[in-house]
Parts: sequence; structure tokens; C-alpha cells
Amino acid sequence: MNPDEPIVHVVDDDPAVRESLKWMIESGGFNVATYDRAKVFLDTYDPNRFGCVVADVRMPGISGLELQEQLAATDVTLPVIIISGYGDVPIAVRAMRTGAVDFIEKPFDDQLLLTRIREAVEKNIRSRGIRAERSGS
Amino acid sequence: MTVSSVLALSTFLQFVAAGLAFRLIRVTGRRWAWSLIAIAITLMAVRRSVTFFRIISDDAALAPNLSAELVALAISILMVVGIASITPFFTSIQRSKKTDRDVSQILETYFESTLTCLVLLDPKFNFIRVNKAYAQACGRRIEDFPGHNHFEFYPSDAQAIFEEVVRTKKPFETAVKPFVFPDHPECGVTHWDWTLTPLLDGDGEVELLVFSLVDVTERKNAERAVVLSEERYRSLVAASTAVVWTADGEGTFVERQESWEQFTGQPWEQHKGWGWAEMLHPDDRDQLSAKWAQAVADRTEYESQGRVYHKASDAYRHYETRAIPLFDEDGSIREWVGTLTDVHERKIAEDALQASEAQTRLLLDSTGEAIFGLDLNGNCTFCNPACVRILGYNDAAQLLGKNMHDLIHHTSAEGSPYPMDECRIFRAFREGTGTHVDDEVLWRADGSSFPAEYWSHPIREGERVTGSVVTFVDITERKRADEALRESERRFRAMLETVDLVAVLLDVRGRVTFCNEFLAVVTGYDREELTGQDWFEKIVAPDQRKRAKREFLDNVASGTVAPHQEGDIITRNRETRSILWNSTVLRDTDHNIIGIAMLGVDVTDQKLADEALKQASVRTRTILDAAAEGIIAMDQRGTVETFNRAAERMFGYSVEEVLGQNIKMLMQPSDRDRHDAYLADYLRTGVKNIIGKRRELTGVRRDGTTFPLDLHVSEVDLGHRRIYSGILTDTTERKQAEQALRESEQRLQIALQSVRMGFYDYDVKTRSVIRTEGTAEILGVSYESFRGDYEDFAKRLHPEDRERVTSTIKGVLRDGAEEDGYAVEYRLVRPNGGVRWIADRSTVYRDQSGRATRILGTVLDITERKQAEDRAKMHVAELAHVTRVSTMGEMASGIAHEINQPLTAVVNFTTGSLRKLKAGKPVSDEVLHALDQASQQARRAGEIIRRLGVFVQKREPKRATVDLNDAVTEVVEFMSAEARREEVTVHLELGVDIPTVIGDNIQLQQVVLNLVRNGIEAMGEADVETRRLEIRTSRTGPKEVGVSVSDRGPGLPAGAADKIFTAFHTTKAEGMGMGLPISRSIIEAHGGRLWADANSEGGATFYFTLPVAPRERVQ
Repeated sequence: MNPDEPIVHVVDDDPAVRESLKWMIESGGFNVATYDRAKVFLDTYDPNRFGCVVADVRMPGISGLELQEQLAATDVTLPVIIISGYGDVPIAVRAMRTGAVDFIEKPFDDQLLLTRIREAVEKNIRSRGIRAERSGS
Repeated sequence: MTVSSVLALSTFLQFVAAGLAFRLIRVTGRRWAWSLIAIAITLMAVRRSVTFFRIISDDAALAPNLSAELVALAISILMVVGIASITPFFTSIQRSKKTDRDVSQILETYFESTLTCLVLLDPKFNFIRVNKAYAQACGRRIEDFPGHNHFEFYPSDAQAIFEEVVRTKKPFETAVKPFVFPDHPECGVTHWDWTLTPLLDGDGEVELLVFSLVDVTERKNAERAVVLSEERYRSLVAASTAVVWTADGEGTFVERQESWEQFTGQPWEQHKGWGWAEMLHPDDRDQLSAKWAQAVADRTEYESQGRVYHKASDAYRHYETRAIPLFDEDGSIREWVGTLTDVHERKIAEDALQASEAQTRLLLDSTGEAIFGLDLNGNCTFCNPACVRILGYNDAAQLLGKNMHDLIHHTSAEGSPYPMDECRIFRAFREGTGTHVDDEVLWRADGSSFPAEYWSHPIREGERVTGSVVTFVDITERKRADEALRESERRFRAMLETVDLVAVLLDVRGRVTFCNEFLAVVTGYDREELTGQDWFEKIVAPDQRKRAKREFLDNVASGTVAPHQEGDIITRNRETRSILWNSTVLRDTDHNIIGIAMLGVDVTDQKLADEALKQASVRTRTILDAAAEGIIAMDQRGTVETFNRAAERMFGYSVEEVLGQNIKMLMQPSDRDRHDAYLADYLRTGVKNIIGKRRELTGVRRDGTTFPLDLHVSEVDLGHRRIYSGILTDTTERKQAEQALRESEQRLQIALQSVRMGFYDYDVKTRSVIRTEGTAEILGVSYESFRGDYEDFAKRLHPEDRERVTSTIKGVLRDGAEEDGYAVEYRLVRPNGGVRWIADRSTVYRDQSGRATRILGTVLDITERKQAEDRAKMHVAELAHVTRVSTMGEMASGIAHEINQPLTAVVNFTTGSLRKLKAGKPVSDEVLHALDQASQQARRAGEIIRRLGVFVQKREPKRATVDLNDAVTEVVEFMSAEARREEVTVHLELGVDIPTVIGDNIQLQQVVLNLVRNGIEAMGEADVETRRLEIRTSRTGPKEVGVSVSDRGPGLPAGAADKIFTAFHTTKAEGMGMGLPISRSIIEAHGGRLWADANSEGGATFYFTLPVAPRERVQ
């Protein structure tokens, strides 16, 4: 795997949903890494790679929103896309406020998700570029 | 002519005087003087008659001188008058003053007339003279004796005694030093009491020996009879279940107790001392030993009840123990004599009464008295076996429901129709008063009739008369006996005239209404002189007159007479005779006292013998007195000879009051007649109606109160006569039990009627119902068409229930089955096609080998209850459905999420695959795998929806076998996603070998789901680490399985552990608060229980239990 290529981190405790997301996102031309728990992701991901995170809002242990909050607290600016079940409107509002890039309801349109992932990755690249320039100056 | 007339007259008078003088020779003792006078007067009269005849023949030489003849006439008149007036003087002397009479003549008379054998012997023991009594006793003539030696005739060891008497000149008496002559049974004499008294002459030498013997054979026989009777008693005791024992003053067994050993099987080495206590029931041992020790210390009579081991039956039996101390002269206890009397049956009967009303029914059935019940129409409502038997029927069913007047009372004894509205049986319920009739006949099944005595008593329920109970007895025998009795009475009167007993009947004022000839002989009065006279004024000795009269009037007033009254009477000659009277109260047919009959015997000479007899029987008496049962011995006439202490207690008479009296004094009037009839019958025919049989009688106590008793009479042949011993048991308690039984029976009847319940008694051996009440009604058939056997019953079972019910009953009936009964519910199909639900509960009785012998059971029509239950179940089902739908609503978001997950996966797999294919990529294995995953996830979604559909669909509850482990596992899977979301760890622990239950799977799963949801929700606020839900299944009892759901939430609201089960009580924002109430309803409808407890480590545990499904048949 080319370390310079962006990677999409999929965090979902439901194996079927996790594997299907991997399959679908890969079909959109992205590299995908999957995690069944947020903690596993936090312990193992490479902060230097571009990409984004797709996380289910409801998970045992650290939820999607908490994952987003923890990432925001670090210097790592990985955008987080929260996916959620039907009708979790209060959670969606909270997610947006805490700075999640996006919020998508299940079941979702594949194009919509891929578009959002692409936007997120680009956003990540941009923010990294700015940071690199700053550090470079 | 005148002169010759005077001469003739004076001559005649002289002859009269001579006659009177001759009579005086006989009357007075001075024979010679009067003989001379008489002869002189006779000679004078003869000479004058010669003169008279000469004058008649005109011998003028003898011409009489008139004046001389007149003087002669005067002298003659004086002679006649003088001698005639002297005669009564001598007569009265002779009659009044014995002491004036010649002593030797009295002795002579006594010698010849006494019953005592008298012998005069010379000092060499040669017979000088013997009296008639002796000759008779020896079977020889009087003149055979003189000149012979006593020991030539009767050689014996007594010669030494005789010689001793001659040597010492002191009399010998057997009373002081017994000596028994060899028996002479050929003479009928086997025992003598004798004395030998020397008579001394003027020189102090023995001149004569007076040898006096009294025949005491009778007494000896009586004594032997006492021994015999004691033997008999002992053997009776040995043969019966009773135990007799003796112990020393310390209360220990010092000699081998055979009857104890026989009874308990405990050998002597073990029962000696206090070893016997080992045979007492362990529960009684300490208490009875202490009580016995106390009695020994107190030296009082001992009485107790307890259980003693009985070897023959290898069981403990209830016994009543009584013991009496025998004291020595110095007041120390010589020994204790005790008895054990079996009261086991009574105990058992009493216990059985308490235990089961149905069992006591048997008692009623076993009574010999015929009993039937009537309703207000005169129809038979019940009847016992004796009633069926006496009326000549085979089966109670032939009587039940029939009009009893039409059936058994339709015709009078004379053969005329007996109208029902005059029926005296029915009077009891028509007028509400008991009736007693003994002059009618009842009709048997075969058309014959019998004279009967019956009692009809109204049955009341509160104020209302609901029928009557009729008891009756066949009195054919009694009628016949009454006839025999009258005949016997005629004979008895005839006999009174011939016996050597004085007999007198007195009216209530003490006047003589009858006396026999012997009384006239003894008293010297004519019978006519006595009849109508006041007995006490006329006959009774003056010093006893007042007391005797007072006692007599008391006796007449009380209707009782003291036995063996001894009294003195004065004869016409003013002699005092001592008579032992035996009196009886005379009653007319209405039992009114009309007087007293007295029979007397001269007892003066018998007293000594009586005294000896009494002493001889002390020991027998003691043993008899120790017996708990009353023991009475009597002779053939019913005269009481033995009356033990238990009998004294029973009747309230002292033994002295009863001895010598007729046994009838202890009976009530009706039984007296019957007793007389039995005796008359027995004496006439020799048929033993009562001997060897147990009879029920009513005893009359001294105070006139009555009590029921059991009498068992045995006959003892003593050779020369027979005596009868009666053993009596006070059955008051048993009777009370029977009375209680009757009352309980009545209650049972009423209870059965009022609850529409039936009762049956099934004989396993004959496979038939031997007794039933109300079952036919419940079966919807008439008594006639219900055969009452098992096949008939099985035929009526609903086809769906038949297999289940018959296998249940067979299972209980198999040998050695542990169940002591069964309770089944089944449907019965009535002849009209109607179906009724029946609850059948029974108790099974087994013999010692464990084989079932009887089933007593009740059947109750529960159709209405069943219908109500079904309605209730439907109601629960509807509620359960509503709640399920509502639950699903509450779970909607969760469920939506559940469905969303697989749908999301499906969409992702398919869109991903499509994109790859559109991009021109080949159909790789990867693509196929993704599509396969998609279809799997689609099925997953479908499965969730299916389960949801099942859960909310409306349907009839189904009862089937449910495996609780499967049901719980399915629910836990259903809830796993939610549990995961809520971050609750679910720990499922399934018990092994959990039996199936019967129920509706969906409803049971609903309960589990409810509890699991509640548990998860309760932990919403808890730390993630502690969110643990534990679900367990287990077997909680032999016939019970349970499920528990335990959470770590906040626990139960304080003091409201039960409130949570009430409807609309909720702690949640959502939901209607029906979850727990409906769960509880569901579990209870399944026969289980649902409850909650707080956990010790926090949180709550909900439990529910369910009965296991009836055992599947094991082949």
C-alpha cells in the first residue's frame, strides 16, 4: 500500500456493515482500513497519513462522537464522517457542533458517501498542506 | 229309764275322759302317770258299761240308785272338763319352752335329724352309734355300723389323729389342722370338715368319742370352681390380646412374664428389671417410665395409655395399662398386678374419624342396625348394608330414590292396606317429632313380612325439617321370646310351690300378695292368714321392722333392690329364723313398679363356708380388678357371682350391691326382657344365642343414667354346673365417635348437595364402585343406568382425555406406587352429548404390601370454572397481545436500527459491486462474495421483520411443550443488538436437563423479553463496566423450573417491590407500565409465579417459575 495515498478508516462494530462499507468505499477507489472498536483505531492508526474516518455513532466503548472529540483534541486533523441510524437527529446536531465533517444517515446513497469521503480527504490534504507550509516557514 | 239314761251318759263321758287322758300321754313327757290315769278311767268306764248292760237286761239286783248315778255323772263331767282344760296347758308347755323339754330327747331328735354326720365311738374306735346323715353319706344302713371298728370300714392315716385325741384327751378339729379323708366319690362325698371330741367319765378317762363330720363337698367344689375360673381367666387372658403382668414392689419384673414375652417377643433376659421399657414406643418411653416410677413411689393404682411393640404384627399398638398394688399385712407392696388392654382399634377408629369423613362411613356401614334416610317425599336417600340385607335386597340402589312406604310399609300386619297418610314412619318429618313403633310389620323384597321395631327421627337443617333417619330391627325373635317367657313364668310359679325356698311377693305398700307353701310351713301361718297382711308387721323381727320397711319403700321408689339382704323373721311359734333374701323389683308391662318379689333361703349354717370362699378368691378378685374391662360372672339364672372393679366403675355399684342380684339390674327394661327371652330360649332349647358372640347393650348405672357397652359372654362348664362370664367394654367413646360419624355423614350429605359434588368409593379388586353419592347426577345418568364399574366410567371419558386419565389412574394403582392419590381434571361426555369438565381428587388406600385396595374420591363439576378460566386466559392473551404491540412501539427506534444495519450492508455490498462491474471489471470471486454477503444481510433483515410480525400478530394462545432454554436463547439473541448498543454484557447460563413446560411459547418469550429489556434499561445510568445482565435457567424443584434475570441497576423502589407489578406503574418516560403486570398474568395463567428481589450487591433480580410438563410416559 502506498503510504502517500489517502486512506479511509472505517470504524463500526457491526461486521456486516463494516465489511460492506469497506467493499463499497474500495469500489470508489480508496484504500480502506477497518476497526471494530474506536479504541483499536486510536491505538493503531498512522497519524501521518492523509485520509478520513468513517465511524458509526453507536458503538460499545468509545462512540463515534467521542472518537471525533478525542481526535479533535490532538493535533491530528483527520476529518470524521459519522454514520447513523434512522432518526438520530439530536446526535447529528451534536456531531456537527463538535466539528465532525459530516453526518450521514443509514442506509445511504453510495455516491453521496463517496463524495463526502472525497471532500473530507481533500479537506485533510488542504489542512495538512497549510500546516506543512507553516512548519516549513 | 231316767236312771239308766244318766248311767249311760256318765259312762260315755268317762270314755271321753279316757280318750283325752290317752292323748295327754302323747302330748306330755309324763307317759307313765298319764298312762295309769288313762287306764284307770278306762277300766272304770268299762265296769260301768257292764253295769249299764246288766240294767238293760233287767238285773234288778243291780237296781241303780238315781242319786248315786247323778254323783257319778257329775264326777264324769268334772273328769272330762279337767282333763280337757289341762291339755292346752301341756300343749303350750311343749311348744313354747324348749329348755323345759327333756334335753336328751332334743339331742336324740337332733342326732337323727341333723344334716351333720354324727358318730359315737368307744375309745377303741368301735362304732357305738351313727346317725342317719352319716349312714346315708356312707351309703350303709344305720344298723350296719355298731360292733365294727371305724378303721376296719375306712382305713386311713387319721387313725394316728384319733389315737392322739384319746391320749391327750383334747379335741381335734380340721378347721385348726386340716386333714382330708380319702375320697369316697361313690357316696357323692369328696370332702369332709370334721371334729373328734372326747367325752370323759367321772374318773377323767375317755368314755366316748363324738365324731362329727360335715359334708363340704359343695363348698370344695365351689372353691375348685374359683381356681378353675382363675385358670379360665388366665387362659382367656393368654388367648386374647390382653397382657397380664406382675411386678415387685419396686415396679420391676422379677419373674418371667410369659404373656408379655408372647406379646412383645422380648425374652426374659431382656424384659427383666426395667428392660420391658425398651418395648414401649420411643416417643412414649420416657414419659411412661416416669409415670410408672411415680405410681410405684406413690403406691397408688396406675393407669396409662401408650404404644407397645407387638411382635405378631411387627408394629406398635395402642394400649391401656392398669396396675393395682397388692399389699402385705405390714403395708408394704407385695406385688403389682397389671394388665395391658388393646385399645388400638379404638384409637385407630378415632384417628380415622378425624382424618377422613369418608372412612368413618365404613363404620356406619358395618353396624348391624338397619338405617335408612328419607327425604320429604318419603323417598330413600341412603341406606346402610344392614338395611339392605334385612329387607332382603341385594343392592342399595334397589332402595335409593324409592318411596319407602310403598316399598316396605304398604300393608299392615293384618293384611289390610296401610294408607301412606297414616304412615308412622313418615310422621317424623311430617310432624317433626321422633316416633318409636314396635307393633308393625315391614315387608321384605320377596313379599314376606316381619315384625319390626323402628325409630324415625327428623333431620333438621336449622329450623327446617329436611327428612328423617329411620333405624329398625327385626323383632321376630323377641316376639317369640316374649311368648316363651310367659310360658316360663307359668312354670316358674309352679316351681315356686315345690322348692324349699321361701317366696313372697309384696305390693308397693309391703302387703303380701302371694306366698308359697314353703313360707307357710316355715312361718307356721296359713297362706290365707298372710295374704293381704303387712309383711313387716306380721313377719319381720320387731327390732328390724322399721329399718326393713324404710328400705323396702326406698327400693320401691328407686326401682332398685340391694342384693343379699339378710333378715330375721318371727314364726307363729315366735321362733327367729335368719333368712337371706334375694329380691327383685316387679314391674308391669309398662315398666311401672308393682312390687317386690323376695326369695329366701336359710343361711345360718352356711356363713362359715361363705367366709372361707371369700378368702380363697382374693387373688382372683385382684386380677379381675386389675382388668380394664368389666368382668361379670353369673349363674344360669343370671345371678351375679363376680363383679370386678372395672365393672364397679362402669356401673357405679359397689360389688356388695350387685353380688347375688340378677344381672338384669344392670340392664335397661327393654334389654331385661330380651335377656329373659334369651335365657328362656337357651334353657328350653340349649341354643346359644348370645354365648360366644359380641353384643351391644345399654348399661344402666346406679344413678339411672345409661351408657352403651359391648358384652361378650362365655360359658364355663364346671362339671356340676355352668357359669357365664361376661366381658364388658364401655363403648361410650366409640358410640360418641359413631354419633359424630352420623352427624358428619349428614354434614357430608348436605355439603355434597350444596356444592354439587359427588363422592365415590371404588373397590380396586372388583373394579367397581361400592358406594357413591351424587356421582350419577354429575355423570348426567340415572343410578340405574350407571353400572358403577371402571369400564363404564372410562367409556364416558372424553376421547381426548381418556388416555391421559386412565394412564394416571393406572400409574397410581400399580403395586408399590408412591403416590397416595391423584388429582385429575377431565371431560365427561353425557348421554345427551353435553360435555362437562370434572375435577377428580382421590386418596388411594393400600394394604401392607403396598397394593392398592380402595380409592376414595370426590368429583366436582368444574365446567363453569373451566369456562371462566378459559375466558380469563383469553383475556390475558388479548392483554398480552396489546402489550406486545405496545412494546414493539416502544422498541421501534431500536428495531428500526436493527433493520437498518443489514439494509445498510445490503446497499453497500450491491452498490460497491455495481460500481466495479460498471467500471468494466470482471465478475471476480470478490464480487460474488460481496453479492452473497448482500443476500445474507437481506435475509437477516427479513428474519427480524418476521420475528417482529410473530410478536405483534393477534392469534389464539397455543398450548404446547416449550423448551425454556430455547425460548430464552431466542429472546437473548433478539435483544443482543440492543444490549450491545446499551453496552450491556449479557451473561446467559442455561441449566442442564431442564424439563419442558406446557404453555404458549410467544407469551413466555414475551415475559423473558420484558425482563431482559427492563434489566437493560435499568442499567442505562450505570457505569459501563458494571452493566452486566445475568440470565439463568434452572430446575428449582422436583416439579418446577425457573428463570432469573439479574441486573446491576438501581434496584427496586424502596418498599414497593410489589407495586411494580401493578398496572400503569412505570418508572420510564416511555411505555404504558403494562410490562410487568402482564408478565405476571401470563406466568400465573401458566400455573407459575413471578416475583422480584433486591440483589445484595446492588440491582434487582426477577424470577419466574413454571410447573414442568406432566411426565412423558416412560416405556
